[in-house]
Amino acid sequence: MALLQISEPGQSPLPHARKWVAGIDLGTTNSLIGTVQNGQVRILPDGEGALLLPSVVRFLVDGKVVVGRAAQEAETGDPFNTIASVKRLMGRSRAEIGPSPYRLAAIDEGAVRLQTVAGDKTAVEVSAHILRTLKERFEEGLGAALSGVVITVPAYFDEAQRQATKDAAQVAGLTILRLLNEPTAAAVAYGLDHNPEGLYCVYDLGGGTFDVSLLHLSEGVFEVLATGGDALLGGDDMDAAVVDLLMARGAQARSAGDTRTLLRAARALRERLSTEADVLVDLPGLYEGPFSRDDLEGAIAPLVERTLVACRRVLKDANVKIADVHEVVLVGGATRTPLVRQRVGTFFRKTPLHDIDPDQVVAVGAARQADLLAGNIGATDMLLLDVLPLSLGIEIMGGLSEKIIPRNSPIPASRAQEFTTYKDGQTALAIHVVQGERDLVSDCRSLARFVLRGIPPMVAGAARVRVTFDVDADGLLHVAARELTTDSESEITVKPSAGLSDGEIEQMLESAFAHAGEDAKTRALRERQVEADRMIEAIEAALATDRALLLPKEGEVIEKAMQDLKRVRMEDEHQAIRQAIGALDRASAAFAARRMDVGLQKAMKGRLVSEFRS
Amino acid sequence: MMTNYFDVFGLPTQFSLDAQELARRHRERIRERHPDRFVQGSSQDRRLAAGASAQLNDGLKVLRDPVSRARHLLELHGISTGEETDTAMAPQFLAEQMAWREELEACGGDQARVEALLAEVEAASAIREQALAESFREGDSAALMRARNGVRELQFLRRFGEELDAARTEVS
Repeated sequence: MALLQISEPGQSPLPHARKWVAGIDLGTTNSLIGTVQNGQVRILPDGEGALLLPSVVRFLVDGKVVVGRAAQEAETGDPFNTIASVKRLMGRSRAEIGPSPYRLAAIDEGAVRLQTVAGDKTAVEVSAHILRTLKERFEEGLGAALSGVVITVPAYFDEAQRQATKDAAQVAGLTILRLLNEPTAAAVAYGLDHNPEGLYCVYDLGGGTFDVSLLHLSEGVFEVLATGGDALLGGDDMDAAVVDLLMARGAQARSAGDTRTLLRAARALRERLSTEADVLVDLPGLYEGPFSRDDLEGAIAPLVERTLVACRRVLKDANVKIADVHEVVLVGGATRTPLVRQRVGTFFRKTPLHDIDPDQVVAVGAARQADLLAGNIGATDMLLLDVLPLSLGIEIMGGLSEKIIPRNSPIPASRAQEFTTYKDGQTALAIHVVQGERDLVSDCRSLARFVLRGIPPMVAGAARVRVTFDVDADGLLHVAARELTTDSESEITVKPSAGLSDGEIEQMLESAFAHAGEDAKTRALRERQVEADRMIEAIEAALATDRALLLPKEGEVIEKAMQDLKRVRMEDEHQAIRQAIGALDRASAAFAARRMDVGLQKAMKGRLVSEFRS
Repeated sequence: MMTNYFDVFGLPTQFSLDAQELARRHRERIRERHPDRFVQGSSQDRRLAAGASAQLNDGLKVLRDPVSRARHLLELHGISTGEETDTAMAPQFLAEQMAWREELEACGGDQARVEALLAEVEAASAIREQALAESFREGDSAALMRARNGVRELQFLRRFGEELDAARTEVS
């Protein structure tokens, strides 16, 4: 089965050992890493005690890379090699991002590339540097290897942006337990503190993205009803609006460095005007003069109104009235702006909550979820049910998009669709997957083009190819195809429209490991061995407890495949191990399904009895 | 073989259904089967969990909505509603549709008229949903054919309702 997803490294700690896991908020402006210690979330500081890592990466001529505050300070002096707000470029092609403060390589296809003194860099690589810095912070601070992370993404991130985030984690050598939507993470942080029931709205205005999610909370289940937003609307846009106003009043920007200086000044202005009414701008040679809160609010009001339009749509999608919303939670640094608080309060007719630091709340929720997923003892029992933010569709005749999984569908979701050939003897089919709400394919985001090969030659319309689209709990799409008349697996090749190919990821991994003195092949082998061990252990345990579910013959088949895997595992050939894992997987699939059914029945029974008694 | 979503939730295969009970059963089942419960398990467990959760999510969607629930019940009886290929409708129904569409054209920016039309369409849908429940209670083959027509008409009404809703949003 060919998958769009790049499989995550199978390196995992020993079962039952304490798992060192963390939650990471990979933000547009700042990034954080948090972990649960003694039941409490701790956001980890750097050597100087700072919790926020500015999401800024600077590339130097000698190949060295600087991340964080030091890079931020070089921003105006070295604007083309110092990358800020890289999150806005994740999973995007050059054509999609419009004017940029950076030098972009002249390629229209594939992921956008930034030209720096250290060569062309993708957004995935830049983000990987930020993630690696956080990983080091964790490992140096706690003296333990980080075994898995939950990384947050804006709920409104599409498939390509999610995949890019996952790729960045892989390049940084991190094992992803889960991609978690930022508003859901924030709800977890609030929910576990307040123990609420009912309908919550999370309004998350970050540096580069805006998200709004409606969640229903009940007995530890956080169920997202609808989500919406704008992947390109945030504090950065407010800064740009302030700069526009300063320019209109005569400010001069003669160079890229000047523009960055003005943008930084705009951010400082916004922060100061959250508490002050008037500020004197003092940028010699660029702009000198007063700037009031009224000026700021005039400049950003249209942006705030755009967020409210998204709020209205989410309410409508969830079929919920404003009065049904119990609480509104503010997340993201940009919600410190008084105008935002005031407009949100007026819209929802209640004072929004902001008692958890809006910069930290997402990392807090992510750390909780990581602790739970790691199975650590004492982790809070909760379940997060999320939705697909944007409809997935396929291109049909006439350049139209036919929705296969509509937006706000709960995930995991699955949908099968049948296709046929339109020419005699046709042996291949092309499928174009898009994401978005518009009818025309050209108005949606192109995710990938699949080519199905190996269809047996038949007369036109006789072949029946069943294509399954699966969206996993991370919101990522997997595609598989099968020809039904001959029951043969079709081979799929994927061409991501703005992402990276498997080959490119591999290359990045190789260079990352070359840097760290590791060998990518050795790592691949080790990962396969760990995966094999994990599987053997799981199946041995299953056989020990549930052998009764199998006919003697069935048990033998599984035993045989397991012996094969044990033998191959000792040889140093990761492809062979992978094949043996696949064989054992197929041999034991029916057994696993039966065990799951039985497990569920037991769980249901246990619950019904307790309900009956209470 | 077709999945019976009523079985998935341990509910009787019938049209009348308690939406809150359905939601409760969905939560209860997905709690046990969500992939997050299997992060430490083998990749096989995770895949099975994802498949089982997707089925629960799909089942919830199909059963929650009366039109898709009715369509599912008919399919379980071996009756296809054929909405994609068979577009023939009763002349009376089509005449009503035409009249409504003309009214929508005539509304222009008149919010009150759009609202009134929407209310009329919603009332027509409610009557059909009741008739649908009645047909399923009777359950003989003639009643099931009436239910089939009911589903097809409701689907028409729903699409028109969405258009009206869009017209209303444009105005406001």
